[in-house]
Amino acid sequence: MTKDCKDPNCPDSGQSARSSGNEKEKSGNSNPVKTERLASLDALRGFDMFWIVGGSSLAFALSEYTGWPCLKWLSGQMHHAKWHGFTFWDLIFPLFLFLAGVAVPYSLSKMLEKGVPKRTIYWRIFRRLLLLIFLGAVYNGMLKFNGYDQTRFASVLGYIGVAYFFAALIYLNCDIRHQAIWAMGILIGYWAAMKLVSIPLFESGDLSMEGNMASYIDRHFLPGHLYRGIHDPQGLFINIPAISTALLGILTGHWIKSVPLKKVWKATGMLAVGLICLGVAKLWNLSFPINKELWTSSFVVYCAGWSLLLLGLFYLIIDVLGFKKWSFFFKIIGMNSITIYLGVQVVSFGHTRDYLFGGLLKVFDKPLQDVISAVFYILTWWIVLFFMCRKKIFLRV
Amino acid sequence: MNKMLSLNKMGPGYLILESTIKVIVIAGLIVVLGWSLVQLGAWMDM
Repeated sequence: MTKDCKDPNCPDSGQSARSSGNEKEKSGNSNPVKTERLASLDALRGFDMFWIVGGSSLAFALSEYTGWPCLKWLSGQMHHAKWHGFTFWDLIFPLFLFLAGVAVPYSLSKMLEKGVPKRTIYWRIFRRLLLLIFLGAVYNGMLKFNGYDQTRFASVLGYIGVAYFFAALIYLNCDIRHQAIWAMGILIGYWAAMKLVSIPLFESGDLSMEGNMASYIDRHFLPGHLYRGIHDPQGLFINIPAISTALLGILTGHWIKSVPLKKVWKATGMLAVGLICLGVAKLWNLSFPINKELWTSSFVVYCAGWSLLLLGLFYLIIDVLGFKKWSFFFKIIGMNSITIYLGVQVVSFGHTRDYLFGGLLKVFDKPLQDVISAVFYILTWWIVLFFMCRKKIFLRV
Repeated sequence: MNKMLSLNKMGPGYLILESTIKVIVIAGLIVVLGWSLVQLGAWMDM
C-alpha cells in the first residue's frame, strides 16, 4: 500500500523501523537480508497520537457517562501537571520524541548502508530541523502577523526538531558507548546547571517558574512571546535535556535492532530497564523534581521508563507473540502524526463530524451523546487518515 | 603509566574511568554554557 513512502514516520517506509535482529546470523550467509518491519513502533506511535486525536475527549465523556472510578482516574490524567509532578498527559510528547529516537538506528543506518554521503544526511536532518521550526511557528499562528511581541516562535515541533537534530548528529558521529555518555552527561549537566547556577534576586537551585535559570535565559534570549509570559516549556535551555530523551530512544533502537538476543528477551530487557528507570527517576525526584515544564533530568528518566514499558509491551504483543491485526487502527493514526498535530489546530474536524454524523447524534441523549460524539470525532479523523494512507499522502519533513 | 595504574586500555576499569571523565566534561560544558548565558542576561539588564 505504501511501499514507496519515504516518510520516516511511515510504517511502510523504506526508512521506517525495520528489525534486522538476528536474521543475518540465522541465515548464515553474507547476502543482504530483507529486514522485518518493527510493527510495534508504528502502533505505539499511533497509540500516542490517539490521545491527541480525540482519545482524551473520549476518556472524559466515558468518565461522565459511566462514573467508573478507573475512568475518573483516567480522565484526571488527561491534563498536564501544573508544575512539579507527572500525569499521563505529560508522557504524550516525550514518548513521541523517544519513538523518533528508536527509529533513528533504522532510518539513518539504512541511509549509510546505501552509501548516502554523510554530508547529504546532515543536510537532510538540518532541513528537517528548519521545517519543524517553521511548522511549529505556523502552528503558533505566525502567519496571522500579530507582530513580533505577540508571536511565539518556540514550539513543540521546533523542540522536537532541535532534539532530533542534535541526537542524530551524536548518532552519526559516536559509537553506542559514546551515545550513552552523551545522554548521561547531558542529564547530569542539566541537573547541575539548574541546581548550581543562580540568577539575580534568586538563590541557586530555585526551581520555581520565576526563579529557575532556564526561564531566565528564555526571558533574555528566546525571541518573541513566551508561552507563560515569564516561562516557556519549549525554551532554549530546556531543549538540552530533550536531546537525552531522543538519545535514550536511539539506544533502545540499538537494543532492538542489533543486540543478538531472542525477541522475547529483548522485550523482557525493555520491561526490566523500564522499571529500573522509574525507580531511578523517583530517587532523582528527591533532589530534582519530575517536571515536564522544565523537562528535568528526572522527568527524562521517568518518561524513558514509561516509554520502555509501553514499547516493551507493544513489542511483546505485536512483534513477539504476533498479535498484529488489532494494531492496524493505531498504525493508521501513527503514519501521519504531523498531519494530526497540525490538523487538530488548523482544521475543524468537530465541524466535519457534525456535518457527517450530526443527525445521528441527535438520536442520543446526554451524556451518552458526548461519548458517541467523541467516538465519531475519532472516526472522522481515522477515515481521513485512512484515505490519506491509501492515496500515499504523508506530511513529510 | 597504565601499568602503574593497573589500567588496561581495553579493560573495563579503563572504560569506566574514561566514560566517567567524559560524562563529567559534558556535564561541565552544560553548566558553563548555562552560567555564561545567565551572566550575559544579567549584563544586558544592567
